[in-house]
Amino acid sequence: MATVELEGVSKAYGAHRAVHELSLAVASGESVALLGPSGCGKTTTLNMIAGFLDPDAGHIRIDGRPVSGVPPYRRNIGMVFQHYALFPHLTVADNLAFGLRMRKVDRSEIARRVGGALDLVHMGGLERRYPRELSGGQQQRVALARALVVEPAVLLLDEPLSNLDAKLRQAMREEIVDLQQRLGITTIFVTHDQEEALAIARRIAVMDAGRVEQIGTPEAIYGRPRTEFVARFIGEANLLPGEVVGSEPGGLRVRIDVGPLILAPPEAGIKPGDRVLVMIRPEKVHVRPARAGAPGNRIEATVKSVSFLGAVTRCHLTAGAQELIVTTGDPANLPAAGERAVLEWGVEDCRLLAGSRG
Amino acid sequence: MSRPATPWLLLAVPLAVFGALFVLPLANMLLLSLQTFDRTTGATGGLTLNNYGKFLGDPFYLGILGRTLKLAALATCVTLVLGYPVAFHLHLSTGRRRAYLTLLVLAPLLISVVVRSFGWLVILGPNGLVNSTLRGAGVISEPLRLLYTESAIVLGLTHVFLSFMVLSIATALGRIDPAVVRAAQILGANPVQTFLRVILPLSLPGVAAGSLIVFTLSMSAFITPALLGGPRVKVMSYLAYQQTLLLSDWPYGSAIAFVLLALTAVSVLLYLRALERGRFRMVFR
Repeated sequence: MATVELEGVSKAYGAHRAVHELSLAVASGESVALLGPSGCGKTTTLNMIAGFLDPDAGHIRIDGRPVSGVPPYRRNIGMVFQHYALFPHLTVADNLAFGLRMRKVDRSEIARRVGGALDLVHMGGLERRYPRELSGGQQQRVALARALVVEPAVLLLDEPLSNLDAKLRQAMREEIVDLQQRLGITTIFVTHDQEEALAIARRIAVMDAGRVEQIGTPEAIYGRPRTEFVARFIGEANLLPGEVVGSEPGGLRVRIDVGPLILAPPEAGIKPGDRVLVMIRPEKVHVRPARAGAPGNRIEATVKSVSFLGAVTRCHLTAGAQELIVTTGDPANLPAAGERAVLEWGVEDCRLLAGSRG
Repeated sequence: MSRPATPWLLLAVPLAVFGALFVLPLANMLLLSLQTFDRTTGATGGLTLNNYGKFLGDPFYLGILGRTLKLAALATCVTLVLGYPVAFHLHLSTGRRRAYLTLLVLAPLLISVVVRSFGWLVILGPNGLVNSTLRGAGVISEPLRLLYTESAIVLGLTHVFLSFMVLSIATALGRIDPAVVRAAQILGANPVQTFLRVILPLSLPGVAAGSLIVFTLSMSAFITPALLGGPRVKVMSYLAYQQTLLLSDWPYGSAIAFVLLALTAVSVLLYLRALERGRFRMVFR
């Protein structure tokens, strides 16, 4: 297994900065997701690690050794491509054997390892099929087995599940997590699907416009986003613009633009007088009928719509021009559409983000 | 208008034109090839296979048949060997450069076959460019006979048909998923191995299409072999022309044309069959 380090890596296409001074360290055996919208530079980053693209600046090290100038075929990396990129002219067995033949592994060893890799992804018995005779899920498994059979130092996955239907995606997601943990292989994967990133990776690097916005565990990224972009991109978030009006022992006092004063936990770099966004996840907000009253963080709003979605019920509300979303597992006491309601949340359930609009 | 009828309605005009201008004359020629020629009365009744017997029983005619096949096969091989690198280069280039290269590849087709072949006469003739240069340099004292040879025909055919080979192969190369090529690289294949094990096999449909076009066009080419081979180095098309127009033996000329057609068709079918049963048959599905 190996470590992967990126240090100040940049790549531009003409005037467009695809990746800008990106630094990232992946520990041996760790799985990291590069998560971001399309065009954020995540695939460019992956291609630089693989060696298909050379960075304009910065260093990439695999297992401590700089790999600049090392062509892809000497990097000992396994890669699963978005559309699998299986060799259409070769059987499943020959697809798997390809990398082993390139490594001059002897015949009997190839047969043994190909068999083992196919068993690993539950594809035993399909050795003689051609890629186009396989379903999408089967092709995905073959692609995974082909990348793993060469026992690479690092595994790269480029949107590995984006071409599968929802149900299969779920199953493959679990399978990838299981394989990754069992083999303990250093894994970097690229996705625009936050759910996928949260489910597979031990750490997530959220990217936007060629930069890493935040790196952390799924829990940290979701619970303590550092920027508005991260808050909006991962899960749903209520973002209330306001201004810090004072500092108290319990936290920072914030005047929200649409009305009330609330209390929020202190945040490094935010001081009284600053414009801020108060971020509260929809499931942390409690909806009460308007007449109920207790001191604390609360805002009055009008219910626009209530939709029952099975496990959760979503409530859309407005407070002046501010849109709010609340989700709850217990729809029993929700007010109906058109009614007034009070929204409440605990001090520890909200976060202050530096305001983007002044 | 019911749905199943629509395609046929759309096809009606082309089918009528194709039938009237191609199938009917061909049927007429087939009939003609089964008749007997008489110097005084022309083609006459009574269906017979005599014309075909005459052709297949005569080593002279069979020799011309063999030569036609050989020259077409040679032209195909030469265009393939010359065309593949050009196609690969074309495939790798982009934008403006690609447009100009494509134009360059198509350039031979912009000039009439006759003019182009006369160009070769000027270059290959006894006092042509090649001979005068070699003589001027003192390499030879007597002019080499370059014209009216099989090589001259292959050269002429290659010149014309190279475009078709290049474009066919470039199209097939363009259809290869770039990710498949990257997959080969990341699995440890160096550029040569990537080419031999992935790019070349996946470009075979283009090689097949290009060879079929060049081969069939070369088999039936007339002006190029007529001008660069002349009566000395006859091919089937020239033979058919001679019999029909110079000797007025329409039945025999028709029979020769049908032998050429049959040989071309059989060669093409065998070639396709070999490809579809070969190691890389999956590429052709």
